[in-house]
Amino acid sequence: MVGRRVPETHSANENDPQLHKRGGLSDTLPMTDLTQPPTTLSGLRAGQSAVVDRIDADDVLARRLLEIGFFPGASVELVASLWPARDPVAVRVSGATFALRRKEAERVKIR
Amino acid sequence: MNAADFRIALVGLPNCGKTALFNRMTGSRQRVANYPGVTVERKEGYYESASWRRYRLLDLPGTYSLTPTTLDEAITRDVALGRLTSEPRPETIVLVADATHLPLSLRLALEVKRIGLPMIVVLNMTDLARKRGFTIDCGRLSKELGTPVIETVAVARGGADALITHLDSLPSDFLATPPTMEWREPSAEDVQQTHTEAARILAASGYREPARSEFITAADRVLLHPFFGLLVLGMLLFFVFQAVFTWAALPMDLIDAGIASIAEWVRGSMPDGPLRSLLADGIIAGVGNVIIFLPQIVILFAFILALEDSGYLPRAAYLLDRVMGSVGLSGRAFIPLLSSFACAIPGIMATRTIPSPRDRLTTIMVAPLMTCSARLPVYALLIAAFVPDRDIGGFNLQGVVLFALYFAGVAGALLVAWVLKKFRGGSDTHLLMLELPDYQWPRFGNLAFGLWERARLFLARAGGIILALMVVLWFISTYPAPPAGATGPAIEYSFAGRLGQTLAVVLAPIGFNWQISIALIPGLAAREVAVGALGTVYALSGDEDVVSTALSTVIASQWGLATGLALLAWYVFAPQCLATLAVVKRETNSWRYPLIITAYLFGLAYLAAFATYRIALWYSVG
Repeated sequence: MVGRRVPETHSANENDPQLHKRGGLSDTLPMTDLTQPPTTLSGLRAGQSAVVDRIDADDVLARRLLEIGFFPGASVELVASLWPARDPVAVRVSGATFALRRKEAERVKIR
Repeated sequence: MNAADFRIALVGLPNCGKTALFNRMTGSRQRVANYPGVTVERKEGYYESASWRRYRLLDLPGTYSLTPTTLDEAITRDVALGRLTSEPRPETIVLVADATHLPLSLRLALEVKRIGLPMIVVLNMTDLARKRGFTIDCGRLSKELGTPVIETVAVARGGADALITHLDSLPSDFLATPPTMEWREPSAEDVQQTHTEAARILAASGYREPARSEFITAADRVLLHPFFGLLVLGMLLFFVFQAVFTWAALPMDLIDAGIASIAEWVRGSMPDGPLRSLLADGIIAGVGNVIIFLPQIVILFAFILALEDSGYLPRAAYLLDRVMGSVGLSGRAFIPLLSSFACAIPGIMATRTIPSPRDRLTTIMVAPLMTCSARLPVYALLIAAFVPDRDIGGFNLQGVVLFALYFAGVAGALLVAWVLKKFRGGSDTHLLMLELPDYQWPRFGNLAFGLWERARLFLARAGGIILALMVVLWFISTYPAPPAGATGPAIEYSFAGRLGQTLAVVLAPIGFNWQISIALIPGLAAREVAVGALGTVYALSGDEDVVSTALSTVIASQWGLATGLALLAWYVFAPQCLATLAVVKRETNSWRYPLIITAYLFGLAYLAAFATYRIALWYSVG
């Protein structure tokens, strides 16, 4: 499965007024920078897919994430996330759907 | 246990249909207890096959791996490894794999296989999976895994026959093979490796993943939506409370009429005397006033059981996780807390699935604040007496008040959890990591069985403990008899009357009269008893005229509105249930927490009732 990503054409076009608007917002608000592809699971938006890159460290949390299917190379899809801070999120992985808190989702690095 | 029994342990992911398979195979030959020293439920069942072989099945708690994060999961690992001294090691493991959920199931199978016990992999829910285009070559899967693979449909009659036949066909010494015991906790690399291996086996066995149902995807788009999801959840809960009042009205009227005519008949056909008084005033007035709430309890449980079956509950936990997190509760606390709406006892026991001990304790502390079904009779009686039955904006006002009372309990719980968090500091790692299983239509048989169980329990309580308490209450409310020439009702001179009048000194500031004060005492054993007790107290203190009218009418005429509202507020918080406190003691293994809970709940109840009473008085005067 090929992951859909944030369109990267935006970051190339410096004159895009939309981009400036967004950039201005992200200066003042603690938002994920939309011009960069997300690096963790919690950066995905509803409907977006990606591939798991790795999970850092080896603690109980990391182990359980790994066991429920977030292993390097697994494809994941963000099903839904709650307002306002995308916390928690619902993620589809290995044929199952899991609800994860933002802190948990941030542990899963994606590519 | 017979030494010749074959010991089989069922292992599988949560929601894999393991328990359905267990029920299918053992029927009613089950024994539910706890593992010694820990509070994990141990479910064991027996069956005897056509060849007279006896099997002993152990339903182990569902788990994703043998690296536990909860008490339940630790038990699964320890039993499988034979580490529990109380539990002989199973001779074979039946690994239940959900066909709609195969990659994770197979990974678990590979991990379990490494412990060296004989293992049989059971592919469950194949019917459902096939409908969605699932295919697999079972023979090939069996060869790749190196274990037998059997298909079952645990929810269908005869759905476990293939497994039973297979177990029977095994030579007697197969099950008795002494297992090799070399096991180490899997490392991160091991987990990764089992994932890779599971994927390879699936590919080699011609596995085609069942298509995700369009319905589930569409439903989740709405039900998990940040706005519409919460809206639906709120509407759903509101609807449930409306239904509890409006649907139950007719059957309750019928029961009420039935009880009234029985009481009439007893009065008419027996000579006046202590026995007639005991039957009519003690038993029929007391127990009858509790039984009348059966329809409401059945309706509430029907909703809870249907929601549980449908797979919606974890989604509600997901939607409410932020709210729970902000007061220091784990999102996982939602399901124990929701169970507490039925009864705090199963709710408190369900907290075992919360990984952090601190979160678990907070959940236990606030669980008694969830409005359990035993409070429903009290609320229903008082609402019927003091809240007019009319529509406001298309909603039944009584239903709205009931919803508000439930909401008050939840708000109280959030407040207490927040205070606990400030007081002790919350844990840093709240795990949510909750699986959102596929939706399923609730199965009618399941629902009917669950409802029957609840109704039976409720009636057994009404016939057992409540009946006994009513007889005792009748006795202390009748004796000693009033002295000659007494003017007031006889009950005022009895033990109960004097006790109530003493207590009323403390409870007068919150608007409770001595009749309420008496009713609160047997209500300590179980909340709904308070309603029966009020029935008995008023039956004994009134004249014939009062007795034949409904209890709600009596209290509406005898109490002020402020008193009625204060008693409602009292019951939102009051720790009127010894069984709950006993379970807290058992689950926390100390007296400390049940004592803290008792103290803080009484404090809150008194404050809430006081405030309600004073505000209501002030309003009605001003």
